[in-house]
Amino acid sequence: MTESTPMPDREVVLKPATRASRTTIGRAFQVLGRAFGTVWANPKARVGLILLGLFILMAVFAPVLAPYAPHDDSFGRNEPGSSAHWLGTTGNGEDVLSQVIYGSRISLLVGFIAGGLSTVVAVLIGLSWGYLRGWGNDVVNFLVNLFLVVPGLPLMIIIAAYLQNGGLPMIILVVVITGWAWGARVLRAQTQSLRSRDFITAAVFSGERPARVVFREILPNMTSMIAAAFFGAATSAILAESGLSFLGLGDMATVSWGSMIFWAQNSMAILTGQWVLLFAPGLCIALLATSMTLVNFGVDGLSNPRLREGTGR
Amino acid sequence: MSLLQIEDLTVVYEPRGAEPTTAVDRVSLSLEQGEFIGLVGESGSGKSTLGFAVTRLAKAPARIASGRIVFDGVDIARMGAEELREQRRGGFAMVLQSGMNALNPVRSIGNHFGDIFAAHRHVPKPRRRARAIELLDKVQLPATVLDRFPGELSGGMRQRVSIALALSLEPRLMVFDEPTTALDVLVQHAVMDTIRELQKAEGFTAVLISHDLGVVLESAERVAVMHDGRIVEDAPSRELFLRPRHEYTRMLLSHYADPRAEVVELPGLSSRSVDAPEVTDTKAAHDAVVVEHVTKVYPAPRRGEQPVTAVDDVSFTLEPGGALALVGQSGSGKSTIAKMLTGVEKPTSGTVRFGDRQVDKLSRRKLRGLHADMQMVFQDPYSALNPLSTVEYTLTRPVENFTGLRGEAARARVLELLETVGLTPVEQFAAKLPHQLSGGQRQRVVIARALASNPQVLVADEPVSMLDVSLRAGVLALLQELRRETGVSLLYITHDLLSARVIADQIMVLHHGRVVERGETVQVLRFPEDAYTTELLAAVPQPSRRFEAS
Amino acid sequence: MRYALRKLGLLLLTLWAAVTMNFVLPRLMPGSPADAAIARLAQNGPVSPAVQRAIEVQLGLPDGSLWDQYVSYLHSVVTLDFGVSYTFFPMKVSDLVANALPWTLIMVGMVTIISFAVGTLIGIGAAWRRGTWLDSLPTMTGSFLSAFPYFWTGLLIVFFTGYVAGWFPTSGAYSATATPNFSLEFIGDALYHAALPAITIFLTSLGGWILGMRNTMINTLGEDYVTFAEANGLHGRTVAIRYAARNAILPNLTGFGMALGGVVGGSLLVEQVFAYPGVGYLLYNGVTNQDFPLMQAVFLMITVSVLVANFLVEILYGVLDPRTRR
Repeated sequence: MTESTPMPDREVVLKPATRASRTTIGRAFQVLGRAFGTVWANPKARVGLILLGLFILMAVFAPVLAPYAPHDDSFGRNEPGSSAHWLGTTGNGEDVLSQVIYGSRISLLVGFIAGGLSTVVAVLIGLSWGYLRGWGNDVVNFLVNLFLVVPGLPLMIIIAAYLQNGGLPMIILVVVITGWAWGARVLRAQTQSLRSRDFITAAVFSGERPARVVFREILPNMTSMIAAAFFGAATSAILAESGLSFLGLGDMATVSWGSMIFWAQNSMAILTGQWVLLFAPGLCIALLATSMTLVNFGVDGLSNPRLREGTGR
Repeated sequence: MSLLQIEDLTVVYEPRGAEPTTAVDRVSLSLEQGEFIGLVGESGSGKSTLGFAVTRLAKAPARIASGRIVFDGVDIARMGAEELREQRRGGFAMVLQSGMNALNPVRSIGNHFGDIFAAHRHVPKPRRRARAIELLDKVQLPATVLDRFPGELSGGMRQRVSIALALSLEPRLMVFDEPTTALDVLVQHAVMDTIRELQKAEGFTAVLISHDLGVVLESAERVAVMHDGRIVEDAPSRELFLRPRHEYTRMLLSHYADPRAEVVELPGLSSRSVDAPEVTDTKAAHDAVVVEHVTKVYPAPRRGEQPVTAVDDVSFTLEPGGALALVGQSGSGKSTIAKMLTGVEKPTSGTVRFGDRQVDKLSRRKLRGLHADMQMVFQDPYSALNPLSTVEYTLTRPVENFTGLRGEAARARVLELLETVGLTPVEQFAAKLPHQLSGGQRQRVVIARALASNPQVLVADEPVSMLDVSLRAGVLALLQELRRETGVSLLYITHDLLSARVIADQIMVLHHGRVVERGETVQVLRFPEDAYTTELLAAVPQPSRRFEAS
Repeated sequence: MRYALRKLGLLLLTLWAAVTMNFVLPRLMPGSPADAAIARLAQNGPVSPAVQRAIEVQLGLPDGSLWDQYVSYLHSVVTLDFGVSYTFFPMKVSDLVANALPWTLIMVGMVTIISFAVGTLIGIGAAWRRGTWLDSLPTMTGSFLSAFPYFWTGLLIVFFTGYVAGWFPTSGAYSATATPNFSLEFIGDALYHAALPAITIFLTSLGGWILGMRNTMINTLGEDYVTFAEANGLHGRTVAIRYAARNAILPNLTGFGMALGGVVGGSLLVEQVFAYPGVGYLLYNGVTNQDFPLMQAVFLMITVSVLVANFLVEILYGVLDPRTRR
């Protein structure tokens, strides 16, 4: 209980070492497979992975799954659900179901790209900020705290308003600008705690150069935090995209879940009883965001070396 | 009737997603009223688990699987929560290992007492403050402590406070789980004295859980030795010391000796100084490390406080092939000296020379060259290895960086290093990850890494203090053997005088950053001149003193 | 005291940085926001030199050094002179913001505090009963709720309780017939109108607070002082509240400070859904009409409010943690 040694001495069973795959690609697949298995082992995360997988399939196979093209406005306007249009049609005479299916592409794209980019920024800043000392540290500290407390959405709205019709890249840009600070802060704390561990000093004594110390010794020990930062950032990116589109600040010509709600709101869908128009895309946003939150319950084990050998102890 | 009767107690650990393990295996033990019993075992022996089980503090994933714990005639193993809570007054109390963290950082000490009095209502309100002061007095703390917060007290004071808190329950049984392990040597000694005196005065039954048989034998009337979840020997202290029956007990006892004795023998080690190294290696140490008037001052931790002088005008020379021990309590500046020696920290004033290099003037780039000749063995083998790197990777890096060997040649060197530190079969150990190794094996990997560059100097910062007693001798013997075979110079940093005695020819005693005594190890330890050295020597646990003298 | 002064210094520094950011932003943007704004304003009639000057100070002058611009900008911020809005011509921007700000501050502020308090309590309960349904139910519901976009929760609530059931008014802060005053009648009316947006913000932000408190509380439950308190036979409630939760609340307060910006941002969208006359609604109007001076002023005010709220949270932290008093 309070003993720190996880196992008794003298009785270390020497199992024959299992040979890992020799090729780089093979090894990469092994690592990915194990990472997936680790997350999958958590029941909450499993639900998240399944949900997320379904959304990804939906986005990839949208042309196959959707009964009509998303911009095909050749149907009757504001029709209720029918066998031809399961979720009815919009005020412009487009098929709602098709739009919902195609909309997943934008949300996933923004989620993954913006989430990925802000994670990269967070990792770079978090690692160097945690590893380096000196006055530069204080400056970064102040900047990160500034970005943390300045309300992100209003800032995004302002920037988006100036860059009218910037489209998807603009949305991704503003999400990254406002979304990296949280991850950087968490990763800095972890870097600092890892840096004080003896194995980092030992690496320096082994003649390793700073870049190698950071990327080979510190970084792999933060896999779970980086994954958590990524899914966190992706979730807020998806929510932010929907918020901006809802305000009409996105690219209103593309079909996204946020813009669907914007048009529905504009055409007074609630008053005309077309509540599905509001309900369906919103539920999709909520489910996609939930799936990522759930996956995050399972990433804790990713940096655990016991899972890297394949068999748990 | 016994105060506490443990019958066939089994405690299992059932961590989620892993195999359950049996930590305590069908243990039976009975304690009489007023007895002082020691419970000894190394890490993983189940001693703490047993302590938590008998005070009913075991929490998931630990579970009492079977057996009875009869306290004062009542089985408490299956007692309901509220009944158990009430039992804790006048029943069983526990003092935790890390007394530092046993106090709520946001509550004043007075409130800690108040909470206990309020929970059991055994002291009337108007008497409470007086009673708390009385209890603090018993552990030799002033009444002013009541208005302090835990963060404002030293480690020793905090542990005393938690003893006083446990005492406020008027317990009949007190379990001390490694009560002094986290404390400094001298403080340890003083706290143990307090515990012994209290036990005599208050008459409670005491269980002292410790990894240190020496400490236990000094205090307890009876000792139970635990190994792999079982009690392997249970005997009166004197009996156990003079005539140990179980092989495991004998092994533990063999690791104790008096650093002041004429001849000190530990398994595989003797205090005879290392003969002139039979130098076969061409890269044997040929440069001395010369430290002259080195002072290190750290800026004040908070504004308005004094800067901290960690090292104060220290000079010494580590001769090529020599072994020098730096001993002192934590905060004596010994680790700071190691950092300045290896260029990790720069001295505020003074110089550190190594051969023709002036270490305190070396640039970051040049430091890399220094590390080819000067390496470090770290204290904590659990933090000194990257948990995600195999042994082979960990050793290959310094080999490639410092010797220029590549590919198969580098691998051959790695295997040779493993052979040197005794990790065979080498092929199997090379493929291991740190968590698959025991503490002793990890420390050997750490030493192998330090040897990779064929250094002239090894700086070993408390290399065995985190290891179980039975493993220390092996690692120390390895260091001694390395000196003999490679002629490497050794700076050995420790608070443990016994290990200093067996490993170092020269010794330097540090106190508050100053050298208070230095000389030949044998001379200094046998005939200490400084009061502080004497105090340190007195703090070394010594079962022999108690039993052989009488 | 030193802690409070240091935090105050940091607040001033952060305020300055935010104000400066507000200055830099429009000047970084492509095109000339100032020209666009003045052109827009001209559609309402002739633009007086004073108004033109005010807009240029905010959004960028065609001439003058950056430093001079900065000085006059700082001056205009201190005197709260942000020019004239063309969305609500000829109202002054500062008056518009001053009218809108109290609604947001009171409604969003109160709801956030209530939601944080409730979420924290639920989080304490969930951690204390971890592994049971009292833990998993709020945890799962919480993660689901916090994945809802604020505006969508708002739309659902408007639809079901406003249009379908008709229990609550669906827009505005008070009845069209009422005039703002401090009579009980008016306050009741205002509360009635605030109900839906308040419930929306409450529900959507609640999950985050539950999860945050639960996680920090589970950490503190593993601390030695909790085990020791149990060993000393303290009541379960005392251990849970005064020992575990009392310590867990500290990192959670820091988390609260940092999440505040997100909640306020979300609330702005909620105001838009309910046509609630706060700064969010104002911002929305500014954005849809390309009313740059209005946007800038609203953004500045929101940021300042959040920074000040954060400062108050940090002071509270200082009061709660004896370690900051040293």
